[in-house]
Amino acid sequence: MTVQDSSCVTAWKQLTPLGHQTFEYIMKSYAGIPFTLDALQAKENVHLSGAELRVGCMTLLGAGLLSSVVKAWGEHLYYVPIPICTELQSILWSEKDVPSYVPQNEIVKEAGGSLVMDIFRTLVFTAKSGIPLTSKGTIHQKVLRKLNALVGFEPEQFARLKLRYPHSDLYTGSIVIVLDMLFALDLIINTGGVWSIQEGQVRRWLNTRSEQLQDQLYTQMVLRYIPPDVWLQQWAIGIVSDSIEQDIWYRVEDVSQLLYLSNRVGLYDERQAEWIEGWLDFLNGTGFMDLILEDSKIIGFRWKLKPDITSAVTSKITSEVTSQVTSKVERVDVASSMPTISSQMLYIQSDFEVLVPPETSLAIRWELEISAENSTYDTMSVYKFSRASIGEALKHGRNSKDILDFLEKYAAGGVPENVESAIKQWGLELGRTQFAEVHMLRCSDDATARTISTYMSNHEAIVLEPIGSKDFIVQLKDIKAMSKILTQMDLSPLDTLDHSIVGFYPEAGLENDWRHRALASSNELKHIDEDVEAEIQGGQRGWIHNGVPIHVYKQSTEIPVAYEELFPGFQEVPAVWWKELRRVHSSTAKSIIEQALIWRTKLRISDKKGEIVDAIPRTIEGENEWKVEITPLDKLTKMWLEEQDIDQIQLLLPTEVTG
Amino acid sequence: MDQGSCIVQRDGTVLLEKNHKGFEEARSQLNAFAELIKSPEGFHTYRITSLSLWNAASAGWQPQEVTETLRRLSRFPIPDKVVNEVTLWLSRYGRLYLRENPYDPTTLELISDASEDLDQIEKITAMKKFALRRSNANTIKFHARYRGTIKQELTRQGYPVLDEAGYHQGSMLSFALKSGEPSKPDSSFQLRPYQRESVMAFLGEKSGLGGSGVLVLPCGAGKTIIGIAAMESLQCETLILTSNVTSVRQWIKELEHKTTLLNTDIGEYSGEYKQVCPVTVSTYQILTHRNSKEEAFTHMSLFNERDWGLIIYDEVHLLPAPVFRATADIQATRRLGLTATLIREDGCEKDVFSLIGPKRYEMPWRELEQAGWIASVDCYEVRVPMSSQLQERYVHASNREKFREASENDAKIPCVQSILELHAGEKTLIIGQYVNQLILLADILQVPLITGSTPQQERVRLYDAFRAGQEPVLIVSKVANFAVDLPDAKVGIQISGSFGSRQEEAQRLGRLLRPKSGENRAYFYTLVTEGTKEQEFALRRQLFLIEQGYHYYISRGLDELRDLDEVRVKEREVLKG
Repeated sequence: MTVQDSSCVTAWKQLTPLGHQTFEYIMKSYAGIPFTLDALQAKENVHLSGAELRVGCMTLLGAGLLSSVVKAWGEHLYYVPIPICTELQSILWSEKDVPSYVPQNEIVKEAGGSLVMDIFRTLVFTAKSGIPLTSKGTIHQKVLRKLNALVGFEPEQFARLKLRYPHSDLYTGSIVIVLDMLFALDLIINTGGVWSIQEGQVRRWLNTRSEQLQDQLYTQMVLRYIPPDVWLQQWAIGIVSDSIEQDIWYRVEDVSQLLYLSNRVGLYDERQAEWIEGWLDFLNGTGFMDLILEDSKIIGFRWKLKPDITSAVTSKITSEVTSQVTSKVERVDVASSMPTISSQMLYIQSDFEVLVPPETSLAIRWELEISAENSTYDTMSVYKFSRASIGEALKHGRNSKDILDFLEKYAAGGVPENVESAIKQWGLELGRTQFAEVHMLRCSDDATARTISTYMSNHEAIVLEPIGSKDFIVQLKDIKAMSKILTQMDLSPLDTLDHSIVGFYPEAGLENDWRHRALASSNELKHIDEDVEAEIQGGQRGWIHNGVPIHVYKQSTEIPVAYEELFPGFQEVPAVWWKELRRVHSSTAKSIIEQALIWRTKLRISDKKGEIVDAIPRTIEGENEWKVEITPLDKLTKMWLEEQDIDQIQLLLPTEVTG
Repeated sequence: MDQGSCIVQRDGTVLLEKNHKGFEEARSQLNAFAELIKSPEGFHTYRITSLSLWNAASAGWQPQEVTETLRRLSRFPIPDKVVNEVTLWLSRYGRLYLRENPYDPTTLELISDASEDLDQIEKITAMKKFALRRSNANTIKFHARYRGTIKQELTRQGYPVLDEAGYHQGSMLSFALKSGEPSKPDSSFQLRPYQRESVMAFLGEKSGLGGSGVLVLPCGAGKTIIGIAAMESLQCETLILTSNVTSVRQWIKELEHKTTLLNTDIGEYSGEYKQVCPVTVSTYQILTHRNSKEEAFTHMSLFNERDWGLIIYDEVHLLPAPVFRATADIQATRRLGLTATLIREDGCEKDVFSLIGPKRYEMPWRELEQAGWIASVDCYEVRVPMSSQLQERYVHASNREKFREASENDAKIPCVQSILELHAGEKTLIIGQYVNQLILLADILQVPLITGSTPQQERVRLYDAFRAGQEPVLIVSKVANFAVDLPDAKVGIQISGSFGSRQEEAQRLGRLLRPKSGENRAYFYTLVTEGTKEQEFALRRQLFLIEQGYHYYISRGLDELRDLDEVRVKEREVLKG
C-alpha cells in the first residue's frame, strides 16, 4: 500500500478476485442504484453464480465498498455509495481520454450563480425570520415569493429532471432545490409549524471550505435527482472522473462515447439523452459548469467547479481498512488548505459599502449579513451599512461594539473613521431602548412572591427580575426550568408556554476566530473536517428523491459471515458434495444439482469421456429420468445434459466458503 | 502570483483597487471604455455599458483590445457575459452611418455595409413611424427631419449611428479670446493644455469626426472657458443652455471678461430678461416653462430665434426631456455638452449620446489635482457637543426643529474661533444657513457678514476687500450657494446647511478648489452637533464627495482637531519625502 492511494483504492486492492468480479458486475448492472440480493442473483450472468455473488457482496460489505440498509420488514437493500463508484472508475474501466473541444461560433451559456450561495442566502433569511408554515404545512405564498427571489437559477433549469416532491403544484420555483438541500444537509428543521435553522449544523457548514461544500452538494444531487437508470448514473459520475478536467470544454457526444467504449454501458436512447441535457442544464444553473449551445441544444460543457465526490468516502473506509498513516496525511491536507487569514478579508469603503472577495469564508459573510445589507452577489459581493442594517443587527443581539470588533478583525485596511463613527452613532440611537420578549411570572399575592423570591435566592443559574410586589420577569430560556421549580414548590403555573423561538440569528462560530485569535487550531479544523465528512455520510434527509429512497431506511452495519445465512442447510449437506469431483448415483447427482439450484452455486461436471466442465445450472426437469440445463463457463451458451451424460459431479462453492 | 488590480463583475461593473501597484495604469485604460461611477478610498467603481463602449469605439478601440485589456487587468477570469457584450456592443459601432442624399437635400441616407443590420432595423416596430424606404441592400432613405429621432431610437435599440450628414455653419460671429490680444499684456488668461486638448477633441481635429459631443471634466476644471474656446474656434452665433440663472450670469461674466465680444452681442434669456443676441445664454428651466400641462413650451422657440451655429449644453447630465426632443430637431447644428459626470439620475445617458454626441474627452479629477490645476482639499467634520440646556430643548423639539436646534448650537462659536486661530491670516469663508446664527457669529468675531439683504454695492466692496486680503474672513449666508462673484478662499467653515443637500456640500467645497500658492492646499470644515439629526444629515451631505474620493477626518473637540492637523502635516511631509 502506498500513502498516495486513497483508502477506497487500498480497500479495492485488498479484495479477493471474487470481490473484484462481484463489484464490477454490480457497477455494470446497478452503478449506485440499490438492489436486493435476489434481484442481483436473478440477473442473467454467465460468469458468476448466485452463490458467488452473495459471497462477493459480503466481501464488499466487509471492505466498506458496499453499503446496506434494512427495510421495515427486514429485507436488505444493497448499494455502492456514489463516492465509491466515482473513486473506483479509473480502476474499473479502461479510462480513455475524452478529446477536448474548442468552441467555434456556438453560443456559450455561462454558469449561473453558485448553489452554495443560494443555500447561504436562504439560510440567512431563515435565521433572520424563520419560514412559517400554513395550517396545511406549506409555506406562505408571500414568504415563498421572497424565498424564490433569493435563488439565482430558473426553474426551467431543473424541469427536465422531472423531479417529484410534495406540493409540486405550489413549489414551482427553484427554491424547492435549495430547501431540499437544506433538509438533506440537516441545516433546517421543522419546529412546530416553522422551519428554522439547526444552529450547530449551520455553524459547522459555515466553517467548511467552499470546495467541500460543492462536493457535498454534487453528491447529494447525484443521490437524489438521478432516476434509477444505470446509464444515467454512469454518465453523472463519469463526468467527474479523472478523464474530464476542469476548465476544458468537452462535447456531450464524446463523453457518451467514452462510457460506451470503456464498456460501462451500452448505447443510450432519446429519453436518456434528453435527461442528460436536463442534468447539464441543472449543473449550469447551479454554477457548476458552462455550456455550449447549438440551435438551443446543449452540445458541450466545461466544468467551472469540478466536484470531487470521492473525498466523501474517505473517513468510512479509513476507519475500516486503512492505517492511521493514510488518515494523517489526509488530515494535514485538509488543514493546510483552509483559507488563511489573509484571504478572509473584507474591504470597507468610506461610502459605507463593504466589498467581499470570493475567497472570503461563509462564516465571515454570515456575520456581515446581519449588520449590512447586500446589494450584489458576484465575484465581489457588495454590502452596505445603513442605519436600518445596523438596527437589524441590534435586533439579533449584536451591539455596535460587536460589529466593530468583527469588522476590525476582518477588514483589510481597517474601518474608515466615518463608518466607525456612524455605526457607533446608530448603535447609540437604536440600542438605547428595545422591546424585549420576556415572560412575566405573576403571583396572586405578595406572600407567594416573597416565598418565590426567598427560594430563588439560592438558584444562581436563574435570575428573576422583580417588577412590583407580585411579578417577576423570567427570561425565555429559563421558562422550562422555572416551571419545574414552581411545581416542586407546589406552585405549579397555570399556563404552558410555547418555548419555540423564531428568527434567532446565531453567531457563525467565528467568536473563537475574531474575538480571540486569527485562525482555528489544527485540532479544531480536524473536528470540523470530521463533522463534515460525517454529515456527508449522514446527509440523508430531504424531500426530493428520484431514485430508491435509501435515506428512509435504517443503515445496516451487520455483515453475515456465517455461511448458514448465505447457504441455508450448509451443515446438513455432505461435505463430500463440495469437497471433490465424485462419481455418484443418479439420484444423488440430482440432489446435488437441486442443491446447486437452491444455493445458486456452480457445478463441476465430467462426462463419460473424462471431459470436465464448470457450469452454472439453470433448471432441472424430470423425476426418475431427468435432465439439467446448464451454461458451461467456457462456452457461455446454454445446453441440456441427460442424467446419463454425467459421470462425476461436484458442488462448486466459492473458496471464501470452503477455505 | 501577480494579482490584477481589477475585479470584473457579471453586470459589467469593474472594481479597481486604489492601493494596487497597477492602479494608475488600470485607471487610464478603464477611463477609455468604462464610466467612473464613484471613486472612494479603497476601490473605485467603473461600469462598462453599451454607451461607454461606443464612446470607446468612437476613440478607435476594438473589441479584442478591450477584452485583452480587461484580462490583463483582472484578478479573476472575466465573465463570458462581459466578453460577449463587449464584443457585441463594440462591433455595433461604426456599422451604421448617416449621409446626405446628394440628389435630394430633404432626405438622408442610413447606410450599412451589413445589409442584415438594415433588415433588422426595418423590423423594429418603433422605426415604422419614420416611413423608411429601402433603396438598396445597404441603404435606407428617410426624411431629414427625422435625423435626431432616428438616431435616438436606433441608439436605444442598440444600434449607434455615426452622423456624417454634416452641419450648417450658422451666422458668422467674429470675436477673439482676450488672451490672444498682444495689446493687453496684463491678461493672465491662457488656455490650459487639457482645455486646449478638449476643444480639439470636440472639433475633431485629430479624429476627423467632430462638431458634436460631450466633454467630461470635474468641478473647477474650467468648463466655461472650454466652451468659450470652442465658440472662438467656430466663430458663429451660439446658444448656451445651463442649469440656473446664477450660472447664466457666470457665463455672461466670463464671456465679457475673456472675449472681445461686446455687451450688446451677449444676451440673457431668463425669467427676468428675454434678450436674444448673437450669443444668448439661457436656462433649461425657462425653455421648459409653460403655463399649464396642456400648453406648448412658450420659450422653446429660442432654438429657432437665430441661425445658431453652435449650441452649448452646460451640465448636460441635467438636460430635461423636452429639451432632448427639441434637440432632436436641430441635428444639423453643432452641439457641445459639458459635464462633470455622464451619469444621469433618469438613466437617459443614451439620449445624450445620440442627440448631443459621444464623449469626446475626459479629464479625471485626480489628474487635475496632481497637475496642480485644482487645490487639494482636506475635509474635516468637527463634532461639537450639546450643552445640557440645548440637550433638553433638543429632546422636546419636533423632528424639523431638532435639526435647527442642533445646527444653531452655540458651542460651535468657540470652535469657529479656534479654527480661525489655526488658519490665522488665511482667506476664510464661514458659510451658514441661519441668519440669526450668522449675525451672532459676526458680532462675536467682529467680521463682516453678507446675507440676502446686503446691498449689491456692499457685497462687491466686501468681496473686493476679501480678495485683496484686507478682510481675511467673511461670513456668508446661503446667498453663497448662488453667488457668481463669491471670491475664492483657502479655508471654508460650514457651520450649518440645508439638511442633506449633497449639491450644496459640493458647491461649498468648490469655492476652495482654485489653485493656491504654496502647497496648493485648502481646508473645509463642517461643524456638526454630536449625536443629533445634524450628524445624520452631514453623513448624507458628505456622501457625494466621499464617492469622488474626498476623505473626511472626524474630530471631537478642538484638541483633537489640532492633533489631526499635525497628523496631516506629517503625512504630507512623508509624501513629499
